[in-house]
This record gives sequence, structure tokens and C-alpha cells, in this order.
Amino acid sequence: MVWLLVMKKTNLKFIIKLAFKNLSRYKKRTILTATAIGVALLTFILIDSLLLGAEVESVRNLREYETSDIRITTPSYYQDRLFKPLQYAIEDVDLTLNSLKENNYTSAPRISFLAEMIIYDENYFVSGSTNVNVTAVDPLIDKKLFAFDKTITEGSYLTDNSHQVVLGSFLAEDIGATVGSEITLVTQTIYGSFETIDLEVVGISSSPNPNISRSLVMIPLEIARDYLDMEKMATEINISLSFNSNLEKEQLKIQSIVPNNLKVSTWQEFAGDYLALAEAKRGGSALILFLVFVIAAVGISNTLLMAIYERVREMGMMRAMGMREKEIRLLFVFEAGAIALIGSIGALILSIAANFYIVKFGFDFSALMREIDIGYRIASRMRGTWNWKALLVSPLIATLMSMVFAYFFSLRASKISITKSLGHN
Amino acid sequence: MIKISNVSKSYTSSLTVVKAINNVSLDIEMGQFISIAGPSGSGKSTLLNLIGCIDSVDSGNIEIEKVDVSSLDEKQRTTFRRNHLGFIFQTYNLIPVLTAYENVSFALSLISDDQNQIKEQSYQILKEVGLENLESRFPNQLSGGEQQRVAIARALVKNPKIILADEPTANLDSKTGKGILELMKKINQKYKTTFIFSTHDNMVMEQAERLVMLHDGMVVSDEKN
Repeated sequence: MVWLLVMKKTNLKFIIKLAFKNLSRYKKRTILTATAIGVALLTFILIDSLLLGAEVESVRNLREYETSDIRITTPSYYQDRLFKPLQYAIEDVDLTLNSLKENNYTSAPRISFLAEMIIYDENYFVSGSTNVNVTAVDPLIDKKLFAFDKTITEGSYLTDNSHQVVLGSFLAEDIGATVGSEITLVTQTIYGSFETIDLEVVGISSSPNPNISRSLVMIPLEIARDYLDMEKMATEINISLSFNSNLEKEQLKIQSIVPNNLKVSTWQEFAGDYLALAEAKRGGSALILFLVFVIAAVGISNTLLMAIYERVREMGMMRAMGMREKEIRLLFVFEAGAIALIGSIGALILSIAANFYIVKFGFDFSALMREIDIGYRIASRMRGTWNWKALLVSPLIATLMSMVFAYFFSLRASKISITKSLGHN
Repeated sequence: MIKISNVSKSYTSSLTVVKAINNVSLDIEMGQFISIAGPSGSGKSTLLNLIGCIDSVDSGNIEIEKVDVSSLDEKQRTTFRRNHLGFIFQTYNLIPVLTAYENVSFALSLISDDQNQIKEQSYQILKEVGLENLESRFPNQLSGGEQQRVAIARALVKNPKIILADEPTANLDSKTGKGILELMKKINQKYKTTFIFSTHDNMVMEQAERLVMLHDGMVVSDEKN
């Protein structure tokens, strides 16, 4: 780099001028190579936008419909949380709720339990049963944290503490339930004895989070407390924070407010499955994107090699005239950089335009999301997002990559002796 | 003065070692118009390349104006060529994307930063070689003779002490070749630039004031015309 600074101004000007003249020497080749780079970049930027957008929306839907931001449980419940162990529920939950309220936290208790849902053919097409995960909520308080009341597409949200149930739309569709249908839940109380709960479907929820639509069975908290013998108890207390809150800081603060026998967890601790999948997807996506770049790199390499080896004699002449090998290599580095820059600028313009569309409208994957759980918490439209880092950094990387290739290819060619270069055909 | 003392140079071709120049000694006065001739494979281009610091000797040494160029490293040889030598090639070797003016000025820009000087000198030398009004033409828009004139201008523009010409008329018809030769002779007489040709063209040999004949890498005769 120091050498570049001390190189004669005229030499540098000449090299840059010759580089650009050579680009127009083989216009088609320049355009083709620039296009290959541009297409690779465009693909990368758009896929990155979609994947990042999917992640952002998934996290939002996860926090707004599944995990909230902070969740309080007992440590034992947290440890066995997949089994929903009622015996490890929080006792006298009002104490904790009041402490949180005094510290201006919006919180809501829930009981989450496993049950067998039974349907009878007098109400449905067939009779049968299926295992469900039931969520019991306080209808008035819970909607301050979770937006279920806004997701009701048929009937209404839970209105009171009567024998009501709201079902997820996919689940309702699968079993043929509508508003007014009846279901029976068979479950075990906190003491292990069996109970049956007859409920009437009052609402169908179509949530942006497909996991919810697939599995939601929501009943009033008091019904659950009554049938499960869990007076004043809850398996969890959820807390909602503003979107940009410092989660770790809030976690520590809340831990200091609540009783010592409770565990305060961030949403990430309850979304391990999603995070693991997102991480795996990121790895897979990175591999695909790397392959896209490799393909473009092969294209660039081919063009560069052709350009360099076609001009071995010209390089020999320039060296005979007194041009240094470094200066000749710089010529090819500039040419490669210029081709990549042209491709990058084209890709940038196109990707900004395309990204406007995918951020605003996205792609409708509702049919796919209905049938398959691909891990993202998105029910219908997959939208992109603006990743300015990718937009600015990837063209730089593409340009640098081209320049590095050109440097090493021309290094080889410039090692050919001047006499052999001059005799090169 | 160019002093060539016991210079040898070999090349490896497949498994054979070919002695291209075999213990050659030669003194060349500055300002001479000298032709190195001989059949194919006699070593004339090799000798030219050694004098021109394009290649390095295996043994012996070459002194140009008291500078031992045979002991210079690659970087130093490049600098020496840049500042003191000019080259004219059989196939012209012009840069196809540059105009006649740009091909000439490029050579001067290697040693000068003065844009005005570069411009003035380049136009002047193009006029000198008879290419006035053709400065903005690209090589593919020029005839063979015109291209060779551009090459001569490029070699001459930085006022080199020595111009080395490897078969400069080989790709030209006899009339054009004669014109080129007369131009180089005129330049030699005007600027006292040393011209060293490698050739097997009789016309060039006749025009040279001194003829050195090589055979199998050795000097077999050295006569003044």
C-alpha cells in the first residue's frame, strides 16, 4: 500500500486509464462477467433480506403470541417445562403480581397443562381424541400482553370465566370445529386425579404465528384453577416489555423484585427450539450463499484468466519498456475491481428496487405454512427487511474478491520471463 | 560504449541444454548503426535481449556506458531499461486500446510527471516519424508501416541512449521496410542514438554501418560497411 502511494502519479493515472479502456475492449465479456457478479449479489441480498425478515417477524410473533418477553416460573417447573408439571406451579401468584405492578410491569398469570381433547360425532364428522396443550388465561389481563383478541376471525375472544374455549384456526379446521361446537378435555389435577372439562367453542383464532393456529386451546384461568385444584396458582407469569428493552437488564431487575424461589427467564430460554432451528437455517443459508458466490467466482476467474493470458505479450512489452511487474498486476487488479464494481452497482440498484417490493408485499406462503411447519413463526406472507449492512458490505466483498483473484492470476503471468512473454501467442 | 565481454547464455529446451550465446565479446561505440545478423537459431535475438537487459547472462559481463548491467538485479534492470533503452519489435506490440499518441506518451510517462512535456514531446516525435494528423488513430486503423512508425516513436520519445530493434522490417513489404529503415537512419544521424538491429533482412544489413555475423552463438565476422 505504501508503494501505491509513492508510485508516480502519471503511472497510476495511466494504469487506471488503460484498465478502463481494456474493459471496453471486450464489452460483451465485461458485461457478462459483471452480470454474473451482479446476479450472485442480487441473489444473496434478496435471500438475506427474506431470511432476516422471516427471523425478525418470527421473533415478533414468538414474543407476541407464545413466550412474551419475560416469563416467571419455579426452577423445578422450568426444568421439566416440556411435561407441564402442575405440582411445580407458583403458589399465591397474586403476591408476585402485586410486586410487579408496583414496579410498573405489565404481567399476566397463566396455567399451561396437557389434556386429551375428545370430540363426538354428533357435533363433528367423526369422533376421536387428540392430545393438546391447553393455555388458561385471565381474559381481561392476558390481552394486555398477548394480542389474541385481535386474531379472532370467527366468534369472539373469551368474555368471562364460563366454560368457553378459543381454538386455533388450523386445529379447528382439522377437527371440523366452529363457533358453538363442544369439546371435552380430559386431564389430571395437580393431585393426579382425572377431571373432564366440557367447553363450548366461542372463538376461532387465526394468528400470524402458525404454531398458535395449529395448537391453540385457550380457556379461562378460573375454569382451569377450579378443575385442576389450583386456587391462586399459576404455572407461569408472563411479562411484556417494550420492544427495544435490554432483556438481560430487565431480567436481573425483575429477579430482584420477585420472591427468591422463582426463576425469571427471557423469551430465548423458552424458545430454544426456534433458536436452534434458526441457527441451523442460518448455517444452511450461509452455505447456499457461499455456493452462489463460488459460482460467481468461477465465472470471474474464467474471464480474468482469459484476459490475462491473452495479454501476456502485451505485458512482456510493457515490462521491456520499463513498467514494473507490480504496476502491471495493479492494472489487472483495477480491471477486475472495475468489473465487479459495475456488477455490484447494478445489483445494488436492482436489489433496492426488488427489496422495496419484498419488504412491503413479500411472498404469500400461506398454503405451505398451513401444511408444513418450516420452523418460522410466519403464517402467511414472508416479507423481507432492510439489511443495510448486507447492502453495503456485500458489493465491497465482491469487488475485493475479484481484485484478489486478479492479483494472484496476474502474479503467475507476470512471472513468465520477458523473452517468453514477447514470444507468447 | 557498450562492452560485451565473454558473454554466454544457455537455455534448457526439453532435456537439451542449448548454448544460445557462446563466449561472445564485442565492443559497440555509442551512436553506431549496427546490425547483428545470422541464420535462425544463431543467437542474434538472445544477444539483443542480453544487451537490452531483458534477459540475464550466465557468464561474462555487459557494460553500457560504464554501468555493469549484467550484475544488476531484476528491479535495477527494469529501471535501466526504463531510463536508457528503447525497443522496437517485429510485431510492433502496440497496445490496441490506446491511440498512436497514447502509445507513445505512455513510454514517456514512465519517466516523467510533466504532462506538458509529455504532450509536447509525444506530438513532436510523432511528427518526426511522419505521423502528424494520425495521433488519434488506433493501431487497427493504421497500416503496418504506420504502426511500426508509432513503435519507433515510442522507442525514441524518451531520448534513449540505445534502441534495440528485433527484426523491425520482417512484417513489412520491401518499400515500407525501406522507408522505416531510412527513418531510423535519419534519427541515428540526427540524435546519435545507437541502433542495434537483429535481422536477416539483406536491406537492413546493407544499410548498417557495421555488420556482426553470428553462427551457433558465436561471432563469425564483424565488418564495417
